[in-house]
Amino acid sequence: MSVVERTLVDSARRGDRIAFGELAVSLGDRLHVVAHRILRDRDLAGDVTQEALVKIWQELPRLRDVDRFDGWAYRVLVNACRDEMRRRRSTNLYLLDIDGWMPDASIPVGDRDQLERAFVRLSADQRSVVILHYYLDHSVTEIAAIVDVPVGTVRSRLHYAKRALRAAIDAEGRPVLNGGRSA
Amino acid sequence: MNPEQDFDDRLRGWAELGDEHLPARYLDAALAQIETTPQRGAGWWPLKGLFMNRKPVATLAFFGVAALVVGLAIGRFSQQDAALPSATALPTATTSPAPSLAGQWLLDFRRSGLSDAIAGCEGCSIGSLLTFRGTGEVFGISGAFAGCDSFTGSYAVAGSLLQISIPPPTINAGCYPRRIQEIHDRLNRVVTFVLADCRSAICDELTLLGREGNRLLVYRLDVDS
Repeated sequence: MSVVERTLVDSARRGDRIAFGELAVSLGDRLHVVAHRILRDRDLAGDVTQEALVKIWQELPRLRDVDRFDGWAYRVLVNACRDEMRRRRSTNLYLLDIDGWMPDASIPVGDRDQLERAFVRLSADQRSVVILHYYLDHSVTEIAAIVDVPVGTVRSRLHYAKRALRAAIDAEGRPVLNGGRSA
Repeated sequence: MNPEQDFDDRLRGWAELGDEHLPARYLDAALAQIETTPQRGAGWWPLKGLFMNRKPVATLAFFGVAALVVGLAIGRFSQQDAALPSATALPTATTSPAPSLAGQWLLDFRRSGLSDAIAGCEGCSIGSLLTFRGTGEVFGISGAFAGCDSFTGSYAVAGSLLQISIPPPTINAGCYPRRIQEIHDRLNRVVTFVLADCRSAICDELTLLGREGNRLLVYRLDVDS
């Protein structure tokens, strides 16, 4: 965390709305990119990020250690994503709306679609650990601190999530037999 | 590359796909909401942490100790009851206003690492001033003697952030301190500040910091101003 950001967090923690406004500009972006990847829906991610920013402002005086702000903010966001998915459990099959940016050429389109479809079938907790690990490059220990579960639970969630995602890719690569079943 | 590594790399590449910025309407809505949303106090978070750890032994131990403390306190009060003076009005809590930058500040050359700039000059140690005015204007004298160099610039404070913008100095050969240009450069690099030695709304020390938290200049309040 930069000195400027640390100062802003400290001021906001003591009720300075102007400092929080400054902080929210970059924080909002950081939270939104994660929310968008977990929820796979731009509008929902915007709503959840907005909700998380307000929650962070409300709860900030309870943050004991300013240096833990980032992890704490991600925890608030991940919880908000999970709540949102629970509210919308019946309609939680989203595909990432990818208009407006170039897909990574190193990932075959088939793989991407399969990963998308497999990802949206994961639980909120599994999605969170996948994104925190593969997008934010957090270690399992760091993720455990963010989502407030034991390291073993994070490993387990990551393991099952990867297995499901790998199975989706493998299924795509199998030859289709008579009757449309995969080998 | 092994298959596990390969799969991890594919997942990393796939996870990169997505928005990079929060659309402005959501940020605006959050900030508007925050304007009318009060913060929650720090409250009883130490107790919350205790109960959230879900360890019954720790919770029981806590209640045991708490009961003991309450019991001892009651016993002590009942013994002292007769000796207690009659009830008097408690002093009212007062709220101290936030310290401000307003006032005239004297540069502390030594603590700013500029001792050499005033070497051999009598009286130079009180020569470099900075005055913040409520209008967003900052007035200063860089040199030790009147007419050497003075400037008027602007400043802006947002929370703990501080930005100062002052013009380049006019440097005369006979002026002290010798590093006027550097003082001006440092002032223009200020990002934040720390007030110390505070008594209520008045602080005696102002430290100006740069982007990396590096100390640029240290000032003392000019109590005679």
